[in-house]
Formats: sequence, C-alpha cells, structure tokens
Amino acid sequence: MPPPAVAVLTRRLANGEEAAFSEFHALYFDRLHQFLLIVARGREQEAREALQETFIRVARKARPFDDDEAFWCWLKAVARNAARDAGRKQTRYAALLESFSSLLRPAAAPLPRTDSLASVLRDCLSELTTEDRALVEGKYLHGFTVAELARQTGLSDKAIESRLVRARGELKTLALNKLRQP
Amino acid sequence: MNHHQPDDLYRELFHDEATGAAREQSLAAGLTALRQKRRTRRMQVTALATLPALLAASLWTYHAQADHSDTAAVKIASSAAVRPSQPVIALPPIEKISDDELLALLQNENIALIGTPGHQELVVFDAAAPGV
Repeated sequence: MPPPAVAVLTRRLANGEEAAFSEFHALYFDRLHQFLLIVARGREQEAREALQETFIRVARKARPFDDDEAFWCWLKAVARNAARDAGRKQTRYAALLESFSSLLRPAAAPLPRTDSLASVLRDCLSELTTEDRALVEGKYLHGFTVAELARQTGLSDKAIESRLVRARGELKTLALNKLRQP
Repeated sequence: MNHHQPDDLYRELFHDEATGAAREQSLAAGLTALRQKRRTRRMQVTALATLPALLAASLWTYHAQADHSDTAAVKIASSAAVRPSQPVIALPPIEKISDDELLALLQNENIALIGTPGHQELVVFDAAAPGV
C-alpha cells in the first residue's frame, strides 16, 4: 500500500469512519493473524483472541500515520500487547505455575526470532519429503494447477489433491511445533 | 512468498472455520468499539460546548439570587420598621390639603384641632365607642 493510501486510511480511521475500519480489517486481517501466530507461539486460539482484541484497540486508539512502515510498527506493538494480555487471561493458572518455575530458571524464554510466518513455513518446507515439497512449492510458490502438477508427475488429479492435503497438514504441524519451540 | 500480500499457502493452512468466525467477530467487535468511541467523543464535545453556557447560567443565577436576597432584606427591614408582621400595602400618592378642606371633608364628624398653630393635631371623637 503506498504511503498516501495509508495516510488517508489512518486519518479516516482516527475520525471513526466505519467504512475505513472495514477496509482496514480486510487489508490487515491476514497480516496481523500471521504476526500473532508467531507472537502466540503457534497457539491458534490465543492468536485469534489477540487478533480480536487488536482490532478493538485499533478502533479505539487509531491515529494518523504517514507511511505503511510506521503504521505497521504501531500495529505490531498493539498486537503484541493484546497477545500478552490475551495470553495472561487464558493461562492464569499456567502463569501461576510459570511464576514458580521461573524462580528456577535463569532467564525468561526469548521472543520468537522471526516475525514472519512465511519464513517459518519456508524453513518447514525443507523438512517435507522431496515429493511433497515439490508439490507444495509447485502449487503455492510457482502457481501450478492440480492438473498441471498431475501431468508433470504422472499422477491423477485426485492423487495430487490427496497428497497436497497430507503435505499441508504435515507442514502446519511442523510450523506450529517450530513456533512453540523456545 | 511475499508476506505483504495475501498468501495462498497461509490461507490453505490456517483459514479454517474458527479463523472465519474470528474474522467476522473481530470486524463486529471493532465496529462496536468504533461506535462507542464516536459516542464518547460526541458527549465530550457536547460537554465542552455547553460548559461555558452552563458556567454563565450558574453565575447569572448566583448573582440573581444574591440581588434578590439583598432586596428582600431591605424590604423586610423597611416593612418591619413601619408595621411589623403586616403585609406591605400599596397606597395612593399623598395629596396635601389645607385645614379648611380637611374640616370640610369631616364636617359630619365630631372633631377638634388641638395644639399651638403649626403643631396642631386633629382629634376625631368617635361617638360609637362604648363608655364615651
């Protein structure tokens, strides 16, 4: 999004325009969801709750920004705080246990090393089998259709779809596990 | 993969029913928060706009009450000096008349002027009074 668009959008948001909020929601939902999946360390429910709280806070505290970078930095800060609060709410008992266990640990767990889900997925792709990785990359990175992949591999469309479902499931598990690692 | 654009792989992996519901709920919750914010802002603006008028009205009322209590105090003091515990009655303006005119007005009454000239008092003898 070019800077003037962000400037206009954020000004309208700050003025409390509902249409601007709907536009902002459509534009940033996926991006914030991906970011919060990282922040919540792959805990999807927590990420979704934080996402809702983030949108509420943006609606309440929106202010004008001149460029996308500054706006995204602010959004990340809002989302991170929302995730922290959502995490606290959801794991109150766990936090109690955590506070005891933290006495035994020298330092708190570090924050995730990346704020890009795409890079996590890219890393996890390498852990799939060669065939599955080729299918996923062909479909989602190179834009081949199932029919084209079937022609390339000599498999049926149904077989390709079935293998893609399995590969996606495995990729998601790998990604979530990677996010949960300290 | 460009994470600045909608990502097909991310959508395939993470867009399920729960995410769809979260999308709708977050939009609704955000819009509700936006409306609340607008309402609060309107109330603040209204309060700020009416504050000077309220202050002026309060000052005016305060001064009006102070003036009224001063006037009332003067009235009470003056009426107490004339006839305590009686309401003040508006009287017609006093018209000065001569002694002869006065006597002409009271020619059917038993009257007498008593005293030295210039300091005389008019005395009316009431015939109906008992024991007189």
